[in-house]
Amino acid sequence: MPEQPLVLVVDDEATTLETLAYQIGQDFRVMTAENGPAALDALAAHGPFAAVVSDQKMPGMDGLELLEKVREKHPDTVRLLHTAQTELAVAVSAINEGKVFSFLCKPCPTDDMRRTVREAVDQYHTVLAEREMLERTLQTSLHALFSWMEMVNPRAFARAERIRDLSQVLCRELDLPYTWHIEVAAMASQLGAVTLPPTVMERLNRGFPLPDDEQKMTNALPEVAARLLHGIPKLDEVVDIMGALRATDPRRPDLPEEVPTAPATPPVSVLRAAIEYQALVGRGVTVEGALAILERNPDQDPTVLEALSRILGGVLGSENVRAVRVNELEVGMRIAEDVISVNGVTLVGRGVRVSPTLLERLIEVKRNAQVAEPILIDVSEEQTAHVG
Amino acid sequence: MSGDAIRARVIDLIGDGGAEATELVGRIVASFLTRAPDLIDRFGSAAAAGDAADAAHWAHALAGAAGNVGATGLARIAADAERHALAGDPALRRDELDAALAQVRADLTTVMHDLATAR
Repeated sequence: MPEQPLVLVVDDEATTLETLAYQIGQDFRVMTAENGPAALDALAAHGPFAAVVSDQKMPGMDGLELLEKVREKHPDTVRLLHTAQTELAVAVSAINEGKVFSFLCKPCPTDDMRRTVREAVDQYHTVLAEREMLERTLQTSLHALFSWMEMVNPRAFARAERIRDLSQVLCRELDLPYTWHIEVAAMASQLGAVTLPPTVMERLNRGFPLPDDEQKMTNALPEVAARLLHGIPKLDEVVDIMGALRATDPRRPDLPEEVPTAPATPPVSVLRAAIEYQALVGRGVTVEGALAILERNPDQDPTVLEALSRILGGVLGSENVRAVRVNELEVGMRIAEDVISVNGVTLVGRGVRVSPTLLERLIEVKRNAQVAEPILIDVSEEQTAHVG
Repeated sequence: MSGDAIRARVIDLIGDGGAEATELVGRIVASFLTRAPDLIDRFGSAAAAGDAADAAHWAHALAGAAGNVGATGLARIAADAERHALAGDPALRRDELDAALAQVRADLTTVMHDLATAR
């Protein structure tokens, strides 16, 4: 049985506190605090609380001040003010300006108190449920978007996965939190590639010079991704990261010099290094060569490059590849080289981990004798999987 | 009548909670009856010392505690004392408060006795 929601009641008057705990305790778990600071301590130590019911007039920190701090520090907790009739003006201000859910007049009849707190707890659950639904929708939509990228442009998808993995390793090496925003930005960084014709993509991957019109198309790739993600709820931070990447993109000679660039945040620096590194090795540049090129780029953060160098130092020369046939593939294996069809179309990009869906698709293609075998699998997982 | 308000409040708090609720509310009432004289003492000391802010604080606490058990008469006197204190006039209303509390004590005792015997 799920635990009952927790409600915090705050009042400096002992018998009132006892009464509130008794009234609300019939429906919920209740904790009490005799003043604002004690309430904040309880919220931090024993939360999450579904609701907080606070007296207004308390020495030191009054109810409004406390509820404002609760709003800042625990925005999900629903706030109620319990105040004397003589303090109606405060209650009105609490609702209008402090966005307090409701106020309860002292002494509050038990039924009113219980009903209002129940409504507050319902409100808490509604907000959480809506957020959870939004997050699930977002997660599913992103998954669909990246699966589509995998189908349409397997090489771009594979590169995105390599960028993501390298970013994760870099964050760990730099002791930075690896948030889902970085993961999505890493995957999205290659999203625009789906708009490139295969011939342009091929030339780009091989590092060949591009004619002006194709270069223009390539330069527009970050905008494509930013446009696709712009306006999607909760992706603002990802779009910001993409924007910061775009602003100083070294492959954007067309950017005017006066474009103001915000100082790169750690996620931006990590992604910038991962993207450029993967672009270079994707064009066949050696690990040492890629590092040397990155070091010459003033937009790259030296701290991130030192971390990258440390990571790559541990794996240089340790790559270990095994050839397998489609029927020997297993879920979880990582593809070491692009899997191509017999007529030269890339089916799966290097670096992709074999998923049940991918395995099913390859078996299906193999059934029609369309896969060029053997397939190369990276078996030095621990040393090399994340870096390329 | 303050006695009616006290009865209504105590009945409201007990609700249909039976003997256990009566006992819990009895504890809240006992706690109030223990605490109220102390609050009046503190208010009295602060008022006698001319400490308006402190007097207002204790008068406010007494008003809240009294209101909580439905003692509207005592709550009104305490709130009035608080207002005066906040206005810089911590008038000593000790006798009035003591008399009101004595009435509340009698009313609460009667109500709790009635409810205990009725169940």
